[in-house]
Amino acid sequence: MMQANDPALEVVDLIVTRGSHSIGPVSFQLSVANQLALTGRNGAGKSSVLQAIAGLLPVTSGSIKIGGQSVFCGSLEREPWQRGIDWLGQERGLWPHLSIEAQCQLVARDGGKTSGQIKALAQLLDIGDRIDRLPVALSGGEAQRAELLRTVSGGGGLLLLDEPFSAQNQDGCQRIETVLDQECQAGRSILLALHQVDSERETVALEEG
Amino acid sequence: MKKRHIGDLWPLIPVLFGFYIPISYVAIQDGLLGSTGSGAAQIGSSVAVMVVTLRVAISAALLATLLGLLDAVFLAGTRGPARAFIAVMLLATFLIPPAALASAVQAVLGSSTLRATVRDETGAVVMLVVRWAPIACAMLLGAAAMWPAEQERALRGLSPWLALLTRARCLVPQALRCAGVLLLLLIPASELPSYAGVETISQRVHARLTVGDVAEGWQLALAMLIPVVVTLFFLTPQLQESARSQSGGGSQGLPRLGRVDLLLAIRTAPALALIIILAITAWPRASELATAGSELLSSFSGILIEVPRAFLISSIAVICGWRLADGGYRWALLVLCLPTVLPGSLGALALLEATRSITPPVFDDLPLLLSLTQICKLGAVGAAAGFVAVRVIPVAERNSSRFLTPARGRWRVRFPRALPVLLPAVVVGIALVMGEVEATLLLAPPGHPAPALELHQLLHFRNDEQAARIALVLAMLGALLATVVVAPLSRKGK
Repeated sequence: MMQANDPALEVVDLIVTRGSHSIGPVSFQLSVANQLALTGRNGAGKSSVLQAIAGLLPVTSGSIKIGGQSVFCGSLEREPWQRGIDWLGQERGLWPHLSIEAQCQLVARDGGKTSGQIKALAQLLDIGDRIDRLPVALSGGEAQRAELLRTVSGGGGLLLLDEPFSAQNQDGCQRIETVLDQECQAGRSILLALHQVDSERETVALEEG
Repeated sequence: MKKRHIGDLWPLIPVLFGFYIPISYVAIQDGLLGSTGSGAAQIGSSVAVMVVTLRVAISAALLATLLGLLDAVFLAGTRGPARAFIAVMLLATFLIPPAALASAVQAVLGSSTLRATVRDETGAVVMLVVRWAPIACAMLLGAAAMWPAEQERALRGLSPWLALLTRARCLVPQALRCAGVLLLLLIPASELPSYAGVETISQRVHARLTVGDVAEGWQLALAMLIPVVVTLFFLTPQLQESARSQSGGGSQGLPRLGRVDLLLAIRTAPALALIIILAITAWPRASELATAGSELLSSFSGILIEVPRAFLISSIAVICGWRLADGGYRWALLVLCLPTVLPGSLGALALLEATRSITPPVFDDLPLLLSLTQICKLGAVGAAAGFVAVRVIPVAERNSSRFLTPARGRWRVRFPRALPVLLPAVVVGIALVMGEVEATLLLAPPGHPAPALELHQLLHFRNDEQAARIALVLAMLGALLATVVVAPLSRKGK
């Protein structure tokens, strides 16, 4: 069982190559039940670092530990689904052939939220009356909140969120903040990539290159 | 390689048992590849045939792609009347068996046009273009339907002809890949060129394997691999995944262009002419009505019996291709493709020889070997469908599915999303199985209904009326199947 001050995520000397561009070395640590924001200019590599932690981008060198277990180190590389992560990407990744509720239930199968909890979270995100709809029937902001709902419905201990506020108005941002705080109180850890500097969270600023 | 990866290669089982193991067994058993010195001399004598094969295949692949590109740009970039009908007619010429197509083309152009020394090849190219341009059109229409919504909306803001030109330019990279895929499929073509009197390397291999020097047949087949491998070498780097998304624009905002409507109407003429010629030839005299009716009924029931088998074969091939593409096994996909680009008779004869002594007699009446060979021959269709199906899913969606367990992500998320590509590919596979002659000739059990073979034999004995009746039924089936292919593309085609 992880305790409050145990590291949920440890990244050491991580170097990621995207095309001809190299990012890092990057090192930071995120404790259990905490939030950490990666900030920096456009092109600084926030999304690339997040994708590398999730196992979606090849890592050149360094090590990544999630929940005390190594998921990348030398020849060891775990698949994304084996890392105990729930993911929200920068671009919309809702599956258009399933309703929002069906998508949440699909990701919640392995120790995630119950049906009642999903509905309660949907109410909190102001999409309670829309979760039986297909993604095509949602607006841009609703789709982003629906995708966040799908992300938090999973059972992973670490949430990786890439620009989760980008399509939201003030009310939407507030609702998302409430859900994230709630998840933290439940013992989950959250790593975000944010375009703007956030004074409310611990931050790691990435420099270009 | 991890154990999990070895287990993931199960889609290669049909092609291993249906092609590679029999081929290796026969090659080792008969020592067919031993005499390299004489082999080189024999291949040297077939260089002229190889050059003709390549010339015909390259010309036909380029022309079919050009025609397919124009069709796709006009269909995807404009709106107008009867677009669904036009699309079905454009695709129908692929779904009609080659023998019927050749018969109709020769009836229109006249056999003598296709018989002179140089024009032999022209005739072969014309028939191959008529048959394969619809596939180029379908592939490029599919590529156009995958443009991100914002790109599509931006195109609709341009003036009509500039928008069409921009669409064509956007499709050029896909068109080049399409030409490469067509080239791979046209190198082993033998049936259509044979109707124009052109000997291709595939025919020569078939002749050597069945009645001539078997060793030379094998060596020629190996030599055929050189252009195939070169083409694959250029195609492989293109098979990388890229971000795409489905456009949700429908036809609203597309321009209406009278000249394009006219051009598209003209493009349906070959298919309509073909069907009219078949109908006129098939129409019986008053005294033959009863006989013709029973013949039509018998061909219809034969085709109905064959369709479920063709569906099963095509589905297996396409799912195998998609499963390997979804797992990212590029080399396994190339292994899957290879039997398609070699003469059908090579694999069929090797399978027959390798299994002759071990097959129980009860299997002689079942089309098992035929089905296995046809699954192997559809490898490239499965691989191509798999590649496209993987590429149509936007990266963000695919990434999200990777956090589910592999089986759940694959079958609950990515497979349903791939169906709009996989279903048309299954239809194309059905058409290829229904029109396949080479393996059917060698492996079909006695009494097995094989409409394409029957058609081939009827045309050979100049029984044009009865052939036209079978061809007409197949053409109607083809038009029906074409509607399945057109449905996912109609969003842009209206």
